Amino acid sequence: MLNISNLKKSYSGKQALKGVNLSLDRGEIIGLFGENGAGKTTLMKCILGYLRYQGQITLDGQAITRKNIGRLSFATSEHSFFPNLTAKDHKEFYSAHFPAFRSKRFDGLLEFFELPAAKLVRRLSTGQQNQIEVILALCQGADYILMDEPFAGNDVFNREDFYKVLLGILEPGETVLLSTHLLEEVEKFIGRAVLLRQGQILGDVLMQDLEERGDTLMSYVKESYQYKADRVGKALSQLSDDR
Amino acid sequence: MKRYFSVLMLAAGSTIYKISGLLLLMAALETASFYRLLQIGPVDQFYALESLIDRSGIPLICGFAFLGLCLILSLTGYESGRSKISYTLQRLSLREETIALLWSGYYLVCFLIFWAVQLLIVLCLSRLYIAVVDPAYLNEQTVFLAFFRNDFLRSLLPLEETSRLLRNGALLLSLSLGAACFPLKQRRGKRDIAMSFLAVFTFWSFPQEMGRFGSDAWIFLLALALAGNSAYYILWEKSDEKA
Repeated sequence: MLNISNLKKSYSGKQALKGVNLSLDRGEIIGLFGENGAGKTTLMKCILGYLRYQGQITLDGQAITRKNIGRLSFATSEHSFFPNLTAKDHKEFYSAHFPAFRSKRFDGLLEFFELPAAKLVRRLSTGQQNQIEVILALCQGADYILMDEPFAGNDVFNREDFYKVLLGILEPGETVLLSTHLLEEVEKFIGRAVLLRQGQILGDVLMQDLEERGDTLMSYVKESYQYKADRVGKALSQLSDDR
Repeated sequence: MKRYFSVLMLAAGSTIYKISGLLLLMAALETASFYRLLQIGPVDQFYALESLIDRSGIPLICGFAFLGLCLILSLTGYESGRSKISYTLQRLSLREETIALLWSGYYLVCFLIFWAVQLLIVLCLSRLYIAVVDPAYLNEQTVFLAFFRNDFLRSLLPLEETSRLLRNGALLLSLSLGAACFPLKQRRGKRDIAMSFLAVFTFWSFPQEMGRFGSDAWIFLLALALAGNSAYYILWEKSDEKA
């Protein structure tokens, strides 16, 4: 279990995370939602140890160090691959550094998405680079796969394919934490939704519970955020009156 | 062992073609320039080997190629807008500092190869000179005397001038560590002008008259100080943001 306890993070005096508590069990697929600046990326970077923080993050009771960091993988829209390597080179590199690397899955996904194995990654399109990024995270052999807006730049069919493939290939012990704004797209794919707002957990719900209540993820998010649906109408009419 | 090798291959893979191209270009330019002047014929001192080396611009071509090499090596591991490779490097079981040290070892080999190729070029051009020039202008010590009289050649191969040898060794060490330190600092959001300074300084100060012991000594000390500074940063300084 990945356990986050009272996690706080500040950027030059401004608090990005204000005491986040969260537990991620093995085998869950969790959607992490929130407006821009809610703290989603910061939360992931703290988990991965890229940022200093206050609080505690443990993996099966152990602090995350160089010894167990390989149990976490990361796919980000900023990309973390090596632009001057090919997909094939990445496979060799990852195999050398991550003993649990899933070669068969890597080859399968590369073939499924028709990605060239011998072309430098920097020469691929943004959509293909996103695919390589996600494929590497999925094949590292990690127990916890963290994805931060991984499909920015991919078309809707491509994303749809990815969700289906993900559901098909993930093994029971693999956990995915997916940060995205595409609520409706991932609704059928995730098992749990976590909402962040201004660095705090605003909501944490199982999709099954939402279904039983006859609620949708979008309405749950709007309700949690106290979204005022008539806000736009009021603003428009006010603007019209001003004319 | 495989992990160390793969990290070295990461640097080699993204530089080897560029360096090979640079060396070929340098050899072609130097040979063409030297051969063109050799065809013009004897004009007083102009025909002496050491004079021909200078007049054909070999020291300048070598200097610019050296700056090119520094640029190629320093940009290995430099994060462009395409990818944040530090996200991957920080998740490896090898420390980022170890990777920087391994890369500095590889850079040392690259600088040594550059030196050896330049030396080979001038030795081949010297042979060409001996083959082409009227034997009346030659004696058994023509090449030796050229290396003795020409500042660039003597600095390239100092023979028994220990202070120059030590100076060159310190510059090599400093350049190798500086080239490894530069992208490490950049990935951590810091600026580093030491490598740029060192490259330009080496370009400017490399050819020197014989017996300049004082000058060799202070360059030696400066290079060692910069090497020490880079080594200290690589080994002991931590990133501000890293947990």
